[in-house]
Amino acid sequence: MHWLVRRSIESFLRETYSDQFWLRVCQRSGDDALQRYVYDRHSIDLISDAARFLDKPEDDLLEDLGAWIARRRRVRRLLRFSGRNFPDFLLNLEMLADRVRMVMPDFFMPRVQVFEDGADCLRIDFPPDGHDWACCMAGLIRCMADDYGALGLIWIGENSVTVQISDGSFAPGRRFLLGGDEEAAR
Amino acid sequence: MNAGLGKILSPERVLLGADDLSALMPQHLLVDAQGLLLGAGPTTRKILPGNARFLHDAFVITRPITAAPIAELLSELVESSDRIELRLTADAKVRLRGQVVRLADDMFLLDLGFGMTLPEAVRRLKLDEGDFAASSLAMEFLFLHEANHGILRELSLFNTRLNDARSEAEDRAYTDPLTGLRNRRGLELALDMALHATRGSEEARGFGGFAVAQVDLDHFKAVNDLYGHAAGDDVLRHVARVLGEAIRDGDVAARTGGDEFVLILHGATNHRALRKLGQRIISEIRKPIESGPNLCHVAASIGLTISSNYDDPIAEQLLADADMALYESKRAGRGKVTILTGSLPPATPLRPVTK
Repeated sequence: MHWLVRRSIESFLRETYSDQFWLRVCQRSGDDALQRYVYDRHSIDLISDAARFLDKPEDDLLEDLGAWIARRRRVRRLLRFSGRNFPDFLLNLEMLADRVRMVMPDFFMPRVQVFEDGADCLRIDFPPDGHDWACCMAGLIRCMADDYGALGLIWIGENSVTVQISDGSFAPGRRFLLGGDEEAAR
Repeated sequence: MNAGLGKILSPERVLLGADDLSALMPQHLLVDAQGLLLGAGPTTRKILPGNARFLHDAFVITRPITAAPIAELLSELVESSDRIELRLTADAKVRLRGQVVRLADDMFLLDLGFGMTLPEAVRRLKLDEGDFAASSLAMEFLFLHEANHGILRELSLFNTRLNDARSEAEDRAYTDPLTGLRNRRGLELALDMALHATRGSEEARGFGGFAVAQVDLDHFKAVNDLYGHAAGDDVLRHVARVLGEAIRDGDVAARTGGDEFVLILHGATNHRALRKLGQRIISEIRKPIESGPNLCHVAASIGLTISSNYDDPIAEQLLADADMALYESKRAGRGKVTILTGSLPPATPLRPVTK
């Protein structure tokens, strides 16, 4: 698993639940093998175990993970670079995989396609086995809708996410300064 | 250049309105031959001081380096197609570079960009996406700049945690969980390192000598039988504390078995000092140990050997010989310290140094 995925899952579980919870997820195969084991494991197995311990559907946990990632200040800024407004952001998700590859050539992220799906409706299509990505992306999109101050309804399909944009500028949204440090600028 | 384009007739002159010019080149400047500012794109306006009338009111020209008057400099740049490089008079950290073309005898157009100082300029001048032309790569540059920062930061945090986890795992692998002393693996590692340090020159061996002590508890089984394992654990922790306090920094104390301990004492080759240390440990261990309502009594015997006894000391030999000395202590009535010398039975392959 890519170190960044592992670090995201670890930080997400530690911050959202607790350090103990993260250790419990790691320790599944016994104390002794803990260290080696967790580095070799597939990220999705970590999510499965965590979801089972929490008695929560895996899809929901992935969606939470996506939202948590988008709430990181640095990530949020990088995502805001992708579009001037929420619809623009959604359309430009097609470029996200290329952007990621440009910064981290060894990180695989599936390419998505964005289609207009009726009035004010956009559908983001993932490759055939992209359901986990779709769940995670749905959480991320939900969080970014807030950030842009847009109102959107989001459905997760088998390998797609559909977003109905009711209002592109529902609330003022959070400030985004190219030069950074919105907190200080407030 | 391109065969296809060759067929397209390029017009000799293109007329651009000031608005179009600003839309295409938001960072342009129009100046006359004396450097008087005639016009500026919207982004350039943001960085010009309000009272700037001439180019040199707002900028310091850093390239080309010349003492020539501005008119001459501009003409030369047009002819050579060289770049002009400037920095803000008010802020040396914001640098610009650009191209100069002549629009009329007395009018020059400069198109400027921030180059590598873009992130700095964006922060200091509070620019946003609309300040750059659609064709500009400024946004991509800024994205990469921030993404790199973020990822390097995450990577270093990740590596730190990885290292912490690794050293934690290593510590665990070399530590006896009950007493916090080293375990057998930890002892072997320390002994190898001590032996490694003594190899080499004669002087190094002289100074780098060390003693290996085997410490064995007497009556420990009785405490376990009488008061239970919890009391036994209290005794072992007490002994660990005594050993930990008796040794010096850099020395090693390990628990290698149920009630067996080993010490590595660096630079300790003096028999009298070793004997004194051993007796102090024995008398400390002999003190009654509180465990719940009970007072436990144990004693200890110690056997030592010294690395400088050997021409070429090896770990197994040192441990076996210290063990033999320990056996000697037990045989002599327990609570004793025995230091291995040449007078021991020749059952071992030891080559003692006669002193």
